[in-house]
Amino acid sequence: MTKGSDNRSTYWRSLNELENTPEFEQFMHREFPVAASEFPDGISRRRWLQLMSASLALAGFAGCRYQTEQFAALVGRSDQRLPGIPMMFATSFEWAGRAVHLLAGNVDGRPIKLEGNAQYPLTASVDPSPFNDGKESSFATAGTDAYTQACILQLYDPDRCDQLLSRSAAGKEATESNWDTFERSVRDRLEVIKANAGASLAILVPPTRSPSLRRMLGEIKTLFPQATFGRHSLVSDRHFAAGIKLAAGRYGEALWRFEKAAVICSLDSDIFAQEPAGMVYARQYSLGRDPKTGSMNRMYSIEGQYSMTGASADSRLSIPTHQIGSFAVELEKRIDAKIAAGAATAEAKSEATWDKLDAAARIERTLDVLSSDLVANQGKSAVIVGRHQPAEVQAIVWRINQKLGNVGKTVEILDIQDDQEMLGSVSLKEFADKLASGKVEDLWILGGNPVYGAAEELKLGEKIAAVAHSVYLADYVDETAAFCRNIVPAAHPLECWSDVMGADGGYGIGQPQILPLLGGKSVLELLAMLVQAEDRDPQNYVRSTAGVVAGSKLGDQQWKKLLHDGYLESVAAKPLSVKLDQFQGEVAVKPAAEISQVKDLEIVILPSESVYDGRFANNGWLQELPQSVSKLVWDNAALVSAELAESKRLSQGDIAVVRVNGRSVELPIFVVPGINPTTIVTQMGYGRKSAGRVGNDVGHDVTPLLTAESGTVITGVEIASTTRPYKLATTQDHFSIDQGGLVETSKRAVRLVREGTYEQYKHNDSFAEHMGIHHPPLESLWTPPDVAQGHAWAMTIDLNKCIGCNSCVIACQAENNVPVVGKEQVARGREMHWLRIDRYFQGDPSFKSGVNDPKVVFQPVACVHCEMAPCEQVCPVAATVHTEDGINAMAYNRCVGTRYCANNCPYKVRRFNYFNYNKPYGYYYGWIDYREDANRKLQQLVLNPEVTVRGRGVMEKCTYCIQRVQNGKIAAKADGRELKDGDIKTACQAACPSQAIVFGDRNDASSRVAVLQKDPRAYAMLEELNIKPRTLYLARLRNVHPRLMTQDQVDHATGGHGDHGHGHDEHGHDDKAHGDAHGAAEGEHGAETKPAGDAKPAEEAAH
Amino acid sequence: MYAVYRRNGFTLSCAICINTQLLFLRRWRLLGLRLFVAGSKMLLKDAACGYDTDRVAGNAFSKSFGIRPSTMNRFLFPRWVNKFLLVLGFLALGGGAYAGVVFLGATDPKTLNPGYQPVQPVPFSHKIHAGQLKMDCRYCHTSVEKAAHASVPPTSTCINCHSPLEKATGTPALAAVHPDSPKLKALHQSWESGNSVPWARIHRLPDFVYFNHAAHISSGVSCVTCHDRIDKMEVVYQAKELSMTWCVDCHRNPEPHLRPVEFVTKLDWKPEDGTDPAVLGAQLKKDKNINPLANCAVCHR
Repeated sequence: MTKGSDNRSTYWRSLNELENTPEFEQFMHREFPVAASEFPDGISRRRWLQLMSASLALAGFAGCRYQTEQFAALVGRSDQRLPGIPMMFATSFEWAGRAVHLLAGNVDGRPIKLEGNAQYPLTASVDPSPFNDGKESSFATAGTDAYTQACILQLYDPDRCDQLLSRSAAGKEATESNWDTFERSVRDRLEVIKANAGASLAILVPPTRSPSLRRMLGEIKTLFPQATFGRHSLVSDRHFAAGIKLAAGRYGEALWRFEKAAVICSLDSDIFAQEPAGMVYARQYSLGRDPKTGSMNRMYSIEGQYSMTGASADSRLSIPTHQIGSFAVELEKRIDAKIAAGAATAEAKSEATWDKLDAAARIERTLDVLSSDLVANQGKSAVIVGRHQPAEVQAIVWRINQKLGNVGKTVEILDIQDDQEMLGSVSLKEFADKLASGKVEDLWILGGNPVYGAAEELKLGEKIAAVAHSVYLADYVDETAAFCRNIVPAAHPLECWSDVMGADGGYGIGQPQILPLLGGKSVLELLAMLVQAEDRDPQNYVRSTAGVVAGSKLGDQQWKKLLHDGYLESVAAKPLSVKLDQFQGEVAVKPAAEISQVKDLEIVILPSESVYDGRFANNGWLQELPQSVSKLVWDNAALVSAELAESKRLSQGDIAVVRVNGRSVELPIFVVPGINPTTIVTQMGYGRKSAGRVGNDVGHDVTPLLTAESGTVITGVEIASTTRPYKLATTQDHFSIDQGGLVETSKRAVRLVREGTYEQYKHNDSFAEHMGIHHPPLESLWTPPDVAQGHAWAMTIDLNKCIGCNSCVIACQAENNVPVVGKEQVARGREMHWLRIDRYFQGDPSFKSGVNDPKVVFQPVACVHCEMAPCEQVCPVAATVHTEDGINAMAYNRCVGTRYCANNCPYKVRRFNYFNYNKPYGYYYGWIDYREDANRKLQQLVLNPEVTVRGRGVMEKCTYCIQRVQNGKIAAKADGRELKDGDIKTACQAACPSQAIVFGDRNDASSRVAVLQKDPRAYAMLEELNIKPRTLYLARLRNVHPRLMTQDQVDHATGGHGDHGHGHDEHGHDDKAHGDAHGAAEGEHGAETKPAGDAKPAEEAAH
Repeated sequence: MYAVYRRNGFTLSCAICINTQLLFLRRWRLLGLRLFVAGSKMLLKDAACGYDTDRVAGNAFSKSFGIRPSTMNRFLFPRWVNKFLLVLGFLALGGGAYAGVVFLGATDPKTLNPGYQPVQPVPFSHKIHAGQLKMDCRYCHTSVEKAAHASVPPTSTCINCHSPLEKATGTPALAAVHPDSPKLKALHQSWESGNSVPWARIHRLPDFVYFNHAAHISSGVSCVTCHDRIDKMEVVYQAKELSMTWCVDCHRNPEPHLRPVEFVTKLDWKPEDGTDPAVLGAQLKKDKNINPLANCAVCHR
């Protein structure tokens, strides 16, 4: 062993593992941690049934006689519509001010899968395909975010508001009403409103990007000039709007062009998760992560939380969130100085490496290096700040971009109107005051559930209840509905005509995929009722808006084209030619040296990665989605650093009380290394009381901490443990490949998830290949199959592009009918996701700050389809077998559930159905209530008919989307043509916004997957087992600035350890290529004893 | 009898099956046990009467049956019991045969599947349409070449020829073949109300089987291979087993079932020059590179 190994990167997944707690031990020693068959005891029967309603399935036919099955053939069918064949319709919708452009897969009249629309101009303009070889047409995928993927489940949610309700007076029970009565009351009120020019009318709108809705609201404003408009969103974008106004003097929307940026600096901005155009940005970012073409951007992340973006960053600095302003001011000073001096490059000095620095020195070093890097890349850099940062900070950052000459190059300010400005909307506080004034008699709330999360002192609910004629367009009968007189069921975005303005100002059309299942109305229909429009058809209204946007009325041909494409061609907002340095004000900041001295605790309340602001609370898929860094499911928590936990005596899983100015909430503690020691991170959207059967009482409501003015970053926080335990479910230790504890993990993880620095790659591009175990030539006990004939399906996952966004996980769940199992089952390690994203922390745990400044690596793991699959060798009933084209297939109807395969799978990707997750048990295991039955029928509509619904006692796992493969092959055959590369895309690949996942035929030498599998970065996980996985990974590269490298990175970047000499030439390896493999090799040769009879490698002798 | 069996073949074999199951029902088993115990007691008492039992204490066996030890020293069956041995042997042999019939015969796909002939809402005759009128299968089953489902035609397809009499004019809107036939009532109701005709499904595979018509048609597997001579059926019934072995047999040996694609819907097709279909099939298989696979994932996803 050499001293080099002391600095070796160490990987671990959780603090439990790091500390080797008993819980972790138990988890490690059993493949299935808790006895297999017990009924979930920690869960009440009612709860269980509720969860079940989120994942119910086709009922099987019982009995031994054939039941007559009926066809429901259509009465008339268009010739394009084929039973069972999905029709793709272009559509768009907006949610929370985000525009999504989609292709909805519609099977027999029901939409079951959403894919991104790759032809949308903004998306198409950034194609992060690995090659530029003109193959785009069939290969283009747009990707979506996880929320959008999961929207489809909400369409079939039986808990959605399904009838018109009304109550006669505040506090009375709401009863079913009918549209005639409602219409009559609206008509009566319209007379009154007209008479007072709208003085009695108040409309509360969530932020909207819909040109039609904006137009209609504008018309209402003209009609009733006295009307009050309010704008409400729990996730506020007001700081951004105020910031751009300070900087540019007017509003405009920012559209980043990260693909043109060599240096990206994120100041507490979770670019991929929280920016409205995050998925486009992920594409842009991944385009700059291709070392083969030499385009490698460098991303810095300065933040208090640990965001998805921070995990993707090449260098991350942890500072308190409320000190980002101080950092920005200091950064600007340095940039000014360096631009003036003209000396941009920060030369490498002989100085202590990053891992040896204390917090203050890290800030200083980052400021120095970052400013030099930005100045050296003027016009090719991007500095982006988090939307929850104060307006002044936003303005300063805009000024920095202006000084760096980025405006117009890496960022455009588009001429898009602010909907708040357009309508003269007031904030929620002013709106509440207006309600309190008693002048408002008619209140229309156009969705958005404003009562949940509204600051307590506003008493919004009571004020709404006091209004005599209130109308609420409700997705669910939720917290707001409890106070409204009339509750109108809202149509799902896939059920109605709508339109959106894309992030580039383009126009996307939303067309209904299905008639409203629960009789909902769209916002356009409801407003048409308010003004008693003559033409109430929303289609006509949207069409006329499209005409306005296009500049002339749309003819039938143009309208059809719009519906076909989903967007209007050559419509986009013009970039403003403004200077962004108009902000002259000062902000109170701390000098750089004092940032690290801040002891004041802060809490950062973020929109949840699962439920966003609570709107997805009743969505089982999202609730069960492991959050990217914490891997928590079905809960929010106070995420704190280990340092803070230690100093405040907080232990993992205990309930703590968080207090701010007399307001307090209780939250369980969850330790996430890398969060700033002064920062408590938590998510909003939980603790809902009337979200629906799935989402009620999940997690803790943190919104009581918010006040009308506070924003979501709050300082002056106190935290104290109550020592009351709370059960959190996290998937971070589940399905761990290595079972040997920390020492073994640190040795093995280097081989499982391989990464290096860009410097190292430039020095030796095939370093990843040599990070594996040194082994003698592998010999198999079995005759290897002949794989050269026919197709050979294979996949590559580029870890350099993966941002850990979880989109693939939900896409897989939607495609493959993967059930939701509930928190208790997840806690037992029984989650069913076929695709998991392993998250490794990396850092040296022996160094004090190592624990608190770890790097994060994501690695999506699904079945890798080994050519010599160990699972197949142990299946006693041959239920898992290989196809000729290399897919490890599951015959569910043959499986008897021995679980030997899962035991023998080295990747731990097999999932066992402990229960009939897809079948209702009924009350008392028998009687199925008619409501339950109806719910089941509604819910089962989301199931993909191309994939078998699995029952209890059956093993399942990723099939490489065999249904897509088979249908692709059959379609090609029916057309009489050969399969083309890109004809078959797996669900995860199609959903991946950064195109990290590539699937195809390896035997077709020109296919992308074949080329990528020969990439020098490609490696097979656990290749030493000689199981020949078909999924290969491309090693991650960190483009770290040399001065920000850790000792470990420096060692590797310079090509190895001088004092460490293996006789590699004897081993038949290239000497140069080998230097980098030592990190892994040492563990092998130094610490482990060789098994007897092993062919002793020559290098051992050379020692 | 056979016709009844054909229509209800499955039901009949099911009845056999249910009988067998009843034998094993717990209730029956218990009753049998009781009868056996009661009978044994009687026999033992009977036997005990004929012997001097005072000298030998009763054994555990007799104790357990509640026989006083003082009255019995050893047990012998009376001679008349011997007659039952024959019955017992007969029962054993007969039971074996019965089980054999039930488990090998009655549950065989050949017994269970063919012959299923549900009652349709409209007595549509394939014999007339496909046989006498020689309509192509694809006139109605339009998606057979493009999709997994051959698809049952929409009502509008039927209405092309069988449109109902319009109430206003008293004449049919389209072609008027039997516009007022009572047999077409369900069809005309569907056309007027917009609800589906409740056609009953005949050929059914389990939910976990993914059969694709397009893949077979494009390879030149004729309709007749799986559906038999539909053009001769007045009322369609399932003619083939459609079981897994039956599918796999053909996937392993497709040659006899291949024909040029243009003849797939010509149900009475035979090679013109009298060549063996298997020989022609082998040629087609080679020319068109038809290699049906037989791994699980071909049908199970």
